[in-house]
Amino acid sequence: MSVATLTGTVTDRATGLLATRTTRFTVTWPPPVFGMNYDVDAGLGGVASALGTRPLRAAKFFNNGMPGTYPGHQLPASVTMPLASVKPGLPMSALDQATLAGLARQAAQLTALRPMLTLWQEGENKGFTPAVLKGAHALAYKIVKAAAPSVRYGQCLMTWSASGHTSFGPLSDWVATQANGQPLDWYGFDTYPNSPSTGPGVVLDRALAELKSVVPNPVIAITECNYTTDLTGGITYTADSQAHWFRDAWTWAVAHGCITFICYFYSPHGVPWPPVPATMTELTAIARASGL
Amino acid sequence: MSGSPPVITSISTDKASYAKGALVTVTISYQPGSSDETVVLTGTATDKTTGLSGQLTVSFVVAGTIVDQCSASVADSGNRTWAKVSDTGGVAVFTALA
Repeated sequence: MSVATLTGTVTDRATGLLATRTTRFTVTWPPPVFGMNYDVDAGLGGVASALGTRPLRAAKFFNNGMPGTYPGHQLPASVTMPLASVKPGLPMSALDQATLAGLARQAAQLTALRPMLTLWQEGENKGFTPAVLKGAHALAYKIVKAAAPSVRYGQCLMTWSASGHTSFGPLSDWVATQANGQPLDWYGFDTYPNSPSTGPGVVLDRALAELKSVVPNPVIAITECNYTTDLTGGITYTADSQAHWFRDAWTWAVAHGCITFICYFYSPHGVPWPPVPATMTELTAIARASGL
Repeated sequence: MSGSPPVITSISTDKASYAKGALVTVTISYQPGSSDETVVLTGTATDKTTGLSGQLTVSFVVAGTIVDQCSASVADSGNRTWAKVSDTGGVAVFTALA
């Protein structure tokens, strides 16, 4: 829930004298939908079993290239909020554009779902220029909406791009919009520590500030999250416990109306499942708070 | 130019709480501001024989007799985009998505 302060102003055109008066209203939203990367070590079903919750409802699916079907991998029946990332060549060929439209139509036919689609998740460090990546997102948005308006098209950004420690930042340079400047349907933050002492609140506040400098009122999501970067030898948050990292990230996500809270665990990238028991306990609490 | 400022008598939303993405309607009721009217009074005396005349003018101000045009606007702490639906000169209505 958030409280908005509303200010009305009436200005006298002849004298320039004005009057102002304020009121407030609240905005509420459901809790973020808890999920995990599709290739989590235990499998999505195994995660729910280990947490002792109902099956996960959100999952992020990665594709190297353009899959033939949405979301590109087996879709568990419990997952009603799939997020698929695809990788067409850029600029997109006519064939890739047609494939993208087909994927969107397939996603829309899964009528019980609220499908999400993006291309080149974490595209900031994939060798593209901001102009090329943003142009691809604008074109993809147009294609997806023309094919299937109910499919929500967005962009997964790295919070690391707003850390001030990258050669490819700032994050704001990479924020895509529609061709007319209007926002995409959602913006996801792949959320990892900027330093061993930087908690998720600071990490996400920085990323959101840069996003809002381009899109003032975005719909946001947590589309990856862990207390250590998914690279061996990367940065691990040590200022507090792993459990607190997730608790603080969840608290931020709830306070800011994120639509998903997708965690990332994958042994080959140095973030194995399951985590330590205290973290498991926290993730169980988060999943339950999410409605599982 | 002096005058009296506009007065907002009320500002209200159609509900106290909204689900994210729902339509918010805001109504502002106001009394327009006013400007003073300057009246120029001219006295003339005419000689009936020669037809010659003399004039003297004096001006005075009638406070608050001109109702001014006003423009209404709203802004909020969430930087929402507000659209003006109507403005009658005393009641203005705006909408935005929560």
